[in-house]
Amino acid sequence: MPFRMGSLYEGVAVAVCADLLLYWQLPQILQWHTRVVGFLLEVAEVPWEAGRHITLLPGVTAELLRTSYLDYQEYPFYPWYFLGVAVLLLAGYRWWPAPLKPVLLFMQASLTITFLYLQLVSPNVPYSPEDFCAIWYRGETYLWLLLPLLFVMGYFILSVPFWMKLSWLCLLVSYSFLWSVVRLALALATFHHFGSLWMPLFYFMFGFLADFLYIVAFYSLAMDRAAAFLGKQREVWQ
Amino acid sequence: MILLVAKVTAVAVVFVLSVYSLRHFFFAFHRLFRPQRMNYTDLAGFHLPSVTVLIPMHNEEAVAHDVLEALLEADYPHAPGRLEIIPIDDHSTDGTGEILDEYAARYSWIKPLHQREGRRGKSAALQAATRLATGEILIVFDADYIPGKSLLKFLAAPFADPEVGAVMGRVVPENTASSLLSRLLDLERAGGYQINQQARNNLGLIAQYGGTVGGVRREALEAVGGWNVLSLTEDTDLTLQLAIRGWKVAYVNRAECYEEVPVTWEVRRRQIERWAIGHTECLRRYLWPLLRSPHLSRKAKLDGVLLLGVYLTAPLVLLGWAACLLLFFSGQSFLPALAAFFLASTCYNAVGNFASFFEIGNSVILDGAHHRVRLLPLNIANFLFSTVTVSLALAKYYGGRILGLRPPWHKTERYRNGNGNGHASGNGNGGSSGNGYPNGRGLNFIRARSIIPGSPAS
Repeated sequence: MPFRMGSLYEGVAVAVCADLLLYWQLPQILQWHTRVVGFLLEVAEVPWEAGRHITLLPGVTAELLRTSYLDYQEYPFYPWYFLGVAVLLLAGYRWWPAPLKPVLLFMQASLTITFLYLQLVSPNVPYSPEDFCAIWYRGETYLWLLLPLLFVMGYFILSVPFWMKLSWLCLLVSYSFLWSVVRLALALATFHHFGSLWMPLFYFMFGFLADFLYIVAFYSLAMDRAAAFLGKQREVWQ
Repeated sequence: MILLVAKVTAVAVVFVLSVYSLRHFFFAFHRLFRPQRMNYTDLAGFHLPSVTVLIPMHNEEAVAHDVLEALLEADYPHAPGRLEIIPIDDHSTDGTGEILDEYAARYSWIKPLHQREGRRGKSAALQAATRLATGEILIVFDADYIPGKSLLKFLAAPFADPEVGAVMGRVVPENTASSLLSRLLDLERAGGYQINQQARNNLGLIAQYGGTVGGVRREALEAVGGWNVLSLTEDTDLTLQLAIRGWKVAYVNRAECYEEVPVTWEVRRRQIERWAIGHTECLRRYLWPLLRSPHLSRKAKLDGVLLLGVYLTAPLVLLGWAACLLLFFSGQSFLPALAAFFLASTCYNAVGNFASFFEIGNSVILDGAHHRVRLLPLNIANFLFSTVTVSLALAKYYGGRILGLRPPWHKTERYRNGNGNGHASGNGNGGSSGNGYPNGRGLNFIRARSIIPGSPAS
């Protein structure tokens, strides 16, 4: 049989161990995260300084990064420029490939709503880049702790060797750290160079939605390899 | 006040989507680890009631040959009174009628019905044909389907159980290589049938009769008043009516039949628009009778409600996002609620309407076909597309109801034999039709792959 209920219990035990290990190492991981984001910001020529410390979980604190937004009062044409691009994209809406249309629509909606907010309600969005960084750290930390459990529920029920399961789990968690670093650095650099107009887009589309995408991507690759492995066992299970 | 409403909305949406997510996980675990319910396949070939096959056709000259040829090869006894085939030419303007007459001249058990007047649409066509049918069991195929040699036996077998009112087989796309969309739909179908339908069957819940590759007992059909000609989804309508009156719908995973799935997003849009509206009409019509039915258990009622409400999740997702946006700009947005919302909504919906990624992944293992699962992350496109399309369709539906308009029925376009735009051009000589769909696929293609055991090419 390709599925074993007993493997799920094994998986839950692995998830608990992985979470304990993660919890123990989180301060170091977050420190490394901040350091690498700082390095990437320097590469992108974004000045930054160490910000406040926040407590994410009991005994787990993270140091935030303080950067700045592009000042729209100094560069008043920037929001109009982005709005113009959004309108142009909307004008060409019917020629976009159908599966991309909703993504495009959400992107434009996000830019337009933020533009209107900045013009009509307040010259600034309610969060500083440092606040954004805090929101990001909090979300990613919870996700990292959830990740082993999510993955073992889906993958550890398979009758494939334990090393195979563990390898995929390690790969997924490592990728999660790396991808979080890249996205946060990209978001802060975008805010610095292009302003706060882009914040909701990063918050909504490159936040949890992007997290979910790579989780599914890893799951699909792992299932593909597992199916190939099980196929070689020449079992008939239907 | 507005912020409070936004918070309550976000939490409510999270809750509803979480229920759907849990339902999918439960189905998958049940399918994988619990005993499978007897699905009558052992009776195939031993219970042979009189069967009438109904095939509604509207401008189907591109595919009519294939389905009729495949049925001629069926190993169901062709003795008089045992099997009859009624292809219904439903107001066709192409050569469908002539093709059917050609077959009728050669085979006495093929009795075409030419509908030239009266109501159009699949359910009206089925209603008219049912009046002529003599079979105790009515088996329905869409014109683009290619039944395997033993399929009729598998579909007829469950009717040995007098409580079974309808039977549903498994739909397998045969044009998966045509486009990214058809590959994504192949994944969705695999999860939806291999895991979801089978689990519902195992659990004694309401397995869904899908309107094709399925059969209905004539007595049961008459008991519920026949096909609902006003419904855009007569299959869901019939499923609900049968379940409410205590008839069982059996799902037979082994009864596989090959279909054409939409190749272009525009065709897909029209298809899910029709499904969404038809399903929502059923929700309005049958929610209360379902909850009051004395024949259904509590868990079946709960599942029935979730089944009927599945298309409402699309506007719910948009509503949830709107609420989150409001909270974000008010400075109130904070993580627990939003995180839960995004995880729940994407987990449930990111890979299509009827199957979560977990169901699809496991169906791939069960089917032993693994390469296709690599496309799973791309189903995000399908998710976003469906969310927007279904929401717009429901807005159109409710708007139409206010104005007293009936939603139109759209026929799904066929691609086989070069028919890429709903217009027949099929020469069947090979090559490409210009839409990426190779000519001459269909029955010959399946025969070449020996999918129909015992067919001349195998």
